[in-house]
Amino acid sequence: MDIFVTFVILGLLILMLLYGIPVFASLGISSVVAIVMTKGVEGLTVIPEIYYEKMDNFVLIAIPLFILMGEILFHTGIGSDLYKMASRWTNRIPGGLAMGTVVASTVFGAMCGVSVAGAATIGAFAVPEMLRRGYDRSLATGSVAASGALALLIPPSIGFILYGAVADESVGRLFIAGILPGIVLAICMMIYIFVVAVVTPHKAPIPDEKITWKMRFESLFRCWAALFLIILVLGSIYFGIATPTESAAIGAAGAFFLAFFVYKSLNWKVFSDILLSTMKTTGMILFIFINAMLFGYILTRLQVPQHLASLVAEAHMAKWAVLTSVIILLIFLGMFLDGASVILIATPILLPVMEVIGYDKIWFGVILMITIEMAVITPPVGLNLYVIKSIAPDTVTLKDIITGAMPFVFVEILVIIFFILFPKTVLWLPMKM
Amino acid sequence: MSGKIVKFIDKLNDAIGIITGFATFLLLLMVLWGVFARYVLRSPSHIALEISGYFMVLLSFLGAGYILLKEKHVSVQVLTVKIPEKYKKLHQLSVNIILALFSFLIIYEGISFTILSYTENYRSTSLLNFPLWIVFATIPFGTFFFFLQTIRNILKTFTDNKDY
Repeated sequence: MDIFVTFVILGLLILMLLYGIPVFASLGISSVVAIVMTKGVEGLTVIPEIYYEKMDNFVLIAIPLFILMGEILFHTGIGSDLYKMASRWTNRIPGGLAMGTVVASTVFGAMCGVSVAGAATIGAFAVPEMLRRGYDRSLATGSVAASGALALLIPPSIGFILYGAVADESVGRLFIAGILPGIVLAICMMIYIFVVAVVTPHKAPIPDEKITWKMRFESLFRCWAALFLIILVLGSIYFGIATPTESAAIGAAGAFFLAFFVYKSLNWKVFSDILLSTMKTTGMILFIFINAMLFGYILTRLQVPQHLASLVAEAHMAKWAVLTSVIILLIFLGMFLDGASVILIATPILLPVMEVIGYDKIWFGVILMITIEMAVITPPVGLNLYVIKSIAPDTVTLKDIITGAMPFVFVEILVIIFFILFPKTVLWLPMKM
Repeated sequence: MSGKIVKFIDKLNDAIGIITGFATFLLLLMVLWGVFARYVLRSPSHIALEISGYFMVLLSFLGAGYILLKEKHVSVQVLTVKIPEKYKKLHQLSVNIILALFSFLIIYEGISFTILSYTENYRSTSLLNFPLWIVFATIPFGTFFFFLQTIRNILKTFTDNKDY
């Protein structure tokens, strides 16, 4: 390993990121410098070749298609229906409205792969409703910010597609592996809300509104199409009928059908807005992806991951110590970078280390996603915190949201500890495929 | 004069953004056709599969300029938000110069690789035997619009005395 070049490019990457150069360019320029230092200017011809080679992957097509599906559903008003349905079913339980938020976010997460969209869609209805019913500002906003991030773990997840492409792992199996941890995390979030509501009832007053069973079933019926779409997309992947990309296309087509025929929310303006939003998110992610792949190629040529892995193996460090260090590093990275960048930068370096100490690729993928869920609600770069701030009334401060979201970080840490102690719970479902 | 150039590049990348957005819809139609051919016609469409892959390369590069126009490329802003107001323009100028140089390099290497694949007649190994220079050309072509946007941003630094 050329230690000098490695230090130069890692240092340069950190410097450029801190200087505010976009993530994709920081990765790309560091790679260019490494190529020139090791192979001279002539070596730069490899850049377009790597770009093409890494993009030539059918599973990546699922990224724009799942983003498209989420964007269409975002414009249908389905978030309101989901929240109404969930909150009616949890209405009489202490903290029921916040629990309803978690349920709605979990279901929306199964239709959308981006955490910000989940938080924005459900939060737009849930936050004003909870505040109107006298909920504590921190509990109301924190529960939306944290549960919105469940979209990262619950399939279809853009994070898993990126991780699968970098780690060379089946995206279908990763998707299925995310289901159980996603549900466990959602349940743990609900338990936390329940405990808060019982211990401090003034933070989550039970609404006096009478909800009949008829109203509950009516609200459930209104969501039939969305639930059918989820079963169609995830079922086709689980039973091996369709690839994730084909499922994404079916899901996006189904979402268009719902928007046009069921919700009647599609017109020319909305249609072009959906396509532009999809393109912006997709382009931003893919531009980081190709440059991260170039950076990964350079690291591999410099044999950085291999040396790091053998260094860890030779040091005979305890597994838990290595894992804890990795998780702390990921949380730290997540405090400053967006989720996609963390996945794309960290995976090529850390995955070989994880494998050498005996951890499974799918299991690590799930742990990585939960860590990024923490990152999106941790300041200073917790995207979901800012999304909630933008949709919440002016009386809600950023401090309220951060205070409300922090306990959920501890819930997520507890869930990570659970999956470290019982790794088979993560692998059980994909093993059945 | 530079004001007109700024406006022209903005409009151009706006148009490219809309075209790329609709290309995403075309991509959906292509994959759906592949699904229909495989499951209904029982005759998998290798053409749809291959072309949709090439479309992804186009989509990745073509929209980059529009995304820069809309300031949606992700960057770390922990330190940059602390830059004093009077130095902000200088900082933005330096970032855009770096981006312009990087994109120029990608265009140059992209064109070289496209010419090489054209003269060497690189083709896909599939039944379609698609000439790959067309796919490779999308890399410098798309990056060119990004490069234009960085030039626009640099010009704007000099022309705009208000907020950058």
